[in-house]
Amino acid sequence: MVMDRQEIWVALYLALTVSILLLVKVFLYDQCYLFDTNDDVNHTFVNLKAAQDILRQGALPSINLYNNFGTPLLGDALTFPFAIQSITYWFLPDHLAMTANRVVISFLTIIFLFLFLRQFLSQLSALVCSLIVFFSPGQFWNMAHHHYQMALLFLCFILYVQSRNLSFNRATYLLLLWIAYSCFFLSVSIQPVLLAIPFLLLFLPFKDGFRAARASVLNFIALLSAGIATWPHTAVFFESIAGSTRAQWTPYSGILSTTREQLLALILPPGEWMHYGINGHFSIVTYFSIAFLVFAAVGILSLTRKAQADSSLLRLIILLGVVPAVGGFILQFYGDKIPFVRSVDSTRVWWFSNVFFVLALGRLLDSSWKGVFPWFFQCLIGMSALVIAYIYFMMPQLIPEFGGMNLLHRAVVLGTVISLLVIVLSSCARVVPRVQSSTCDITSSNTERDVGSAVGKGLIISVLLLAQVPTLVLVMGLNIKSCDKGNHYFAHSQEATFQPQSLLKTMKPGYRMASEEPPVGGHDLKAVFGGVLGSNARAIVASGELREILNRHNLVKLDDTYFFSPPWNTEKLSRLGIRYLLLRQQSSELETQGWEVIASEEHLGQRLFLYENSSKASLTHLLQDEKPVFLKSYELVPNGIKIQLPELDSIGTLVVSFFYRDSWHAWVDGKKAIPAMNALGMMQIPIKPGDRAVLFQYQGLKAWNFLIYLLFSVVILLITYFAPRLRRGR
Amino acid sequence: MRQRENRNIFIFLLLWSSLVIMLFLHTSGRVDIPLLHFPQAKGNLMMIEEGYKHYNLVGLREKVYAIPQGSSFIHPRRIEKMKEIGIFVAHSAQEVKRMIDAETENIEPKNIEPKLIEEGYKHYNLVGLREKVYAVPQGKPFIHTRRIEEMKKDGIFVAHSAQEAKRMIDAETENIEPKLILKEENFQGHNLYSFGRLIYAVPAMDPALGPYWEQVVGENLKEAKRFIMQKETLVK
Repeated sequence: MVMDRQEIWVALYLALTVSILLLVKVFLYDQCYLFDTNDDVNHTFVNLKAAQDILRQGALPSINLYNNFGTPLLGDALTFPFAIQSITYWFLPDHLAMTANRVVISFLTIIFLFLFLRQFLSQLSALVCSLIVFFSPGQFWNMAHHHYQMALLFLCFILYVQSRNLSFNRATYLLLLWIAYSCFFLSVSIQPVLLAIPFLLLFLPFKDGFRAARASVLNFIALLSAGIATWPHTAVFFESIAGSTRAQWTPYSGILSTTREQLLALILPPGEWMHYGINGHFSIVTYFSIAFLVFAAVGILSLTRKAQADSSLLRLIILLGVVPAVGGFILQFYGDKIPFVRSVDSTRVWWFSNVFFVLALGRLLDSSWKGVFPWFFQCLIGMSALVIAYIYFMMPQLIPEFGGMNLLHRAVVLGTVISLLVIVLSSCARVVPRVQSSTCDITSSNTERDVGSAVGKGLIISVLLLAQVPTLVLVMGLNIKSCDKGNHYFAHSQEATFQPQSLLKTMKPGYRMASEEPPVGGHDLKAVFGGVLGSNARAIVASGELREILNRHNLVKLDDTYFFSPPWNTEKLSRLGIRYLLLRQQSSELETQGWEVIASEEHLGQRLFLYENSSKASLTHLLQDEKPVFLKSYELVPNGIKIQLPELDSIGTLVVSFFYRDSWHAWVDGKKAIPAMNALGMMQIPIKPGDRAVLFQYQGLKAWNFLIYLLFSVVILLITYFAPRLRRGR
Repeated sequence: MRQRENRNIFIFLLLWSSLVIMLFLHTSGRVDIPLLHFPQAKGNLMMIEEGYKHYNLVGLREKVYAIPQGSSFIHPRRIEKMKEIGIFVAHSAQEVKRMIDAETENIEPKNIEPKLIEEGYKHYNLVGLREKVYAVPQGKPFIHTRRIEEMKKDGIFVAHSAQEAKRMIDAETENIEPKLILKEENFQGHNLYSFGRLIYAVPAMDPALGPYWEQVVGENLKEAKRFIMQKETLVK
């Protein structure tokens, strides 16, 4: 399929308008940018800073020392320092980098969606369907975030390359796919990657059957070898997540508990009508709209007619569109007995199944409706229209939950009903001149132009566009007519870092703080911007073992992860190296234990108090007579800490307040020492008089790990490329 | 054919662009489009008590629901379904427990918490309870379990709206003839009298009121006593 220049301009225009729409508040409000104050700031920005600081010093970023007593960086599911979208963070401030990423990625996603869908659909249908897939709530909500934002783009790009396999020679095809898969694995969170793989593997076989055997095999080899090349990166994630606080976390189950609610949530965003407030993406991700569901179903019906038969398209729609969509629904709401599945959001499969599901819609728009549907299909569609109309008018009795339904939703429902009736009428129109005793008595039009279809399709497109509006408004928070109250799409640039800045400046770099606030507040994490270490847990890979230890000592309060909270035990806090505490109110409890308020400032209507520990606790201390002596002479190095010991007159123990993990190693004056875990989960080694320099280093992945796997992957590629030539030569 | 397709694409892009412009205008705050205001569900389900006579008591916003154990929570708008399952709805845990005890929602009087509508309207507090509004003289307790006749004897007006209650208060205060009532004897050498809406302090030794009429000491007993104490301090 060759596209003309006009088609390309139209696609570019659409992509541009989508990008501009995403920038709506950036244009309207001063200092407003596209980033989220939770996942983006508290996780991506801080961890990328830690990772890039280490990379600048020529090491692989294995651990973020600045968070939660050291959290793994490469295995972290939200950081992805080697992702394509991480490149902008090298050159731009975090909030600008994220803004640029979202705009560029949205633009490219629309372009590649269009290119892919255009192979099956007309230009107009491909444009409409690209918008629908892009703005499908789950995809659109999550494309805000660093670790998800490239998911749909990579899927569309790889599918597009696969479908153009005949345009490329063997080497180019293989290499292009290998690069795309490798970047996909390094740029997108493992869960969407795993969900996307079946689509990427099955697309060609389902589309072309055995005709695409060669391209399918090459695609599989490219996927496999890219998986091998990036395996060290993926393996660290599995290793870290196994002992994570989130491993048994089930935040996504039980939100819509009855089948009725689950089904209604497909028609109207549950955040609008559920009896309790739903936080986050589950307020909308299940929303497809009645228009989408009904028109897609009619589209599938139209494809089952012999005259319209396109078995490969039907296969794609059913097997890669409908089946995974239904599967995702079932797993999400009924898969809570299955380990791993219960901890993940299975609706994410819809990000990818929608690409195929929407083909049914596109096909309905493309097909001629005249005479397409036999009488029983016409009856079925007509009956559906009447049933929807009946339910709509009997809503207070039948679906009282939808009592406060917005006018726009009403317009979508009525538009759907009218469109269905137009489909039936248009379908009947052709029958009359041919068959005198038709079931329809509509006067036929013999003109070439099918006015009914044209009107009906215009109506369907309008209804589908209207059905996207709730998603756009709710996800981007367009009813919040300012940037002051950040949602996960927009926030003020100052929120990209620690606020108030004066408190951060009061703390000395290289020391540790803890804040009495759920990690969503993020002070602990953003302290890295001032070189201060934080304590609360936020990472997906935060250690479950450390949580248990701290909880056992009654030091933390548990939420998704945990944060430090009263009763304050100064002795234990000191041994954990916590010098500063950030509180939202003054604490007489702390003051009686010798803590002192060293700064206080108001931020967003909330006064914050910064306390300092009278012991001036530091990251490392000596234990000689059970009383800790805090050392000041240490330096944080990439993935580790260097400590200069004072003159010792007796043997003792050196404690470093980083959580003990197997990957930590220690050297005393160049000689290897074996760290052990103390009662608070921190590391300690024995020391003796004469010991001077101690190095603790976290040795996670090494560069040669990557190189070996990369080499292995390249060998597979080479064999794949040369094997047929060698066979022919023989 | 091609021309028609181009025209359709143009119309689509026009529609889409209009939508984008509409969203820009709405977000800017210059134009408020009511169509874009979507309702937002709020509140959290809270377990108040588990297993009270085989019912779980669950709170949601201002209401308490008693759900038979084993049944799931039903959307509050599905009233018929709730009745079918046997879910009781009340305004407090006590009230819903009484419903469970009585095995019916039709209990009287329903134990609904009185709600202060307005404080100090011409020295009356307006208190809402179910469909009635009570005008209670300030300083008097409002015991809503008492009979209405008893309340009326205590000077409490019973109306069906705040406006009606205020009209009753207005009518009463316009017609009333002030009476001198002894409220407290010998407080630091003063007797405290109420006269109309004010409290007057009269030296207990001198029953002649004349010179003290000018000494308006307060709108209530507490204020009057404070003035007396201040006066005493100044004298000392």
